[in-house]
Amino acid sequence: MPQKEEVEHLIKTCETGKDSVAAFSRSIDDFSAVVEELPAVARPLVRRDLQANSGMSADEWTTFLERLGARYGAIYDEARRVAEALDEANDGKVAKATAALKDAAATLVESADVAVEQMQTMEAYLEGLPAKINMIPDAFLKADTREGLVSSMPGYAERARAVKELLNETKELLSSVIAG
Amino acid sequence: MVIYVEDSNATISEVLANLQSIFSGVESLGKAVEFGDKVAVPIYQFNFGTGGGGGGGGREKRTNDAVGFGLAGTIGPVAVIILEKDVPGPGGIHIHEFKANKLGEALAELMLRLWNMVESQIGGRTKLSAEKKEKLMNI
Repeated sequence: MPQKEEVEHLIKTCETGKDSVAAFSRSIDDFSAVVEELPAVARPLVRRDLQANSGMSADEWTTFLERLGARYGAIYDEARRVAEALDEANDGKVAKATAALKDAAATLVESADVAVEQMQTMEAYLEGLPAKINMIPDAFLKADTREGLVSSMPGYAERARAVKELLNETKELLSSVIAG
Repeated sequence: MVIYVEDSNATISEVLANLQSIFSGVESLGKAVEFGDKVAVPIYQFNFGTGGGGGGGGREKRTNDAVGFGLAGTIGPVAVIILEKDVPGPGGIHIHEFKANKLGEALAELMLRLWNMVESQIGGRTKLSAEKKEKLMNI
């Protein structure tokens, strides 16, 4: 039977996870909006650079983050049911709620390592992106546009790191709660 | 160039349509020309189009049908890139446009090629397998 403290911890992690994924998803949206405003010369360069170095296009990142946010929401709902069942001290209800939690978390548990690896890749890419943008010759990207692009991405890498760390934490908690 | 065929069929139409899609709007780097401490690389734009038509005539049992397809195109320079041999890094790259409306596309293509060359040297690309991507999209 899962421990109440672990379930409560999982609920809080899922709440934070939903918020962190939403925050990073907004960063991707903001980045895409800035890229759309770039001169025609630089736009495809930045788009293709993101895809080549992070493994996914901005649209694919958005889709992935939407799914991840929805998955956190589903796990959160089921974890709350487990907590309620534990409060009632109803073993049958706890077992049923835990099984539902396991189902809701199955794809995340299965794909967590790949997702962590992908977030790590994105974090590294975002950390190096300002320096990379500064390497683009003035002939392709004017100084003011360059400054606008670089200044549009504060905290992006940190948000990617937050999602990555929460994924690791969520996976460990789920293993513990479901196995317990 | 005109290609005459005895009979029209879907395959020929498809081939011509594919040719058009392949060649229309392609930009290409021309041969580099060196002069003194500079190298000039022209960028060309290719525009190809196709057309076709057919007709029939003759008398009973002696019909005379024919179909013709045409393929024509234009090639024109849109910009030239000047590379200064003695100026290392991005500062040594200058762009001179011939047609403003085509410059953006041509330069984007050129920049991507340059970027790809740089990345191939420093190994910046990240491959994501289809299996992993599917997992992420279905998480």
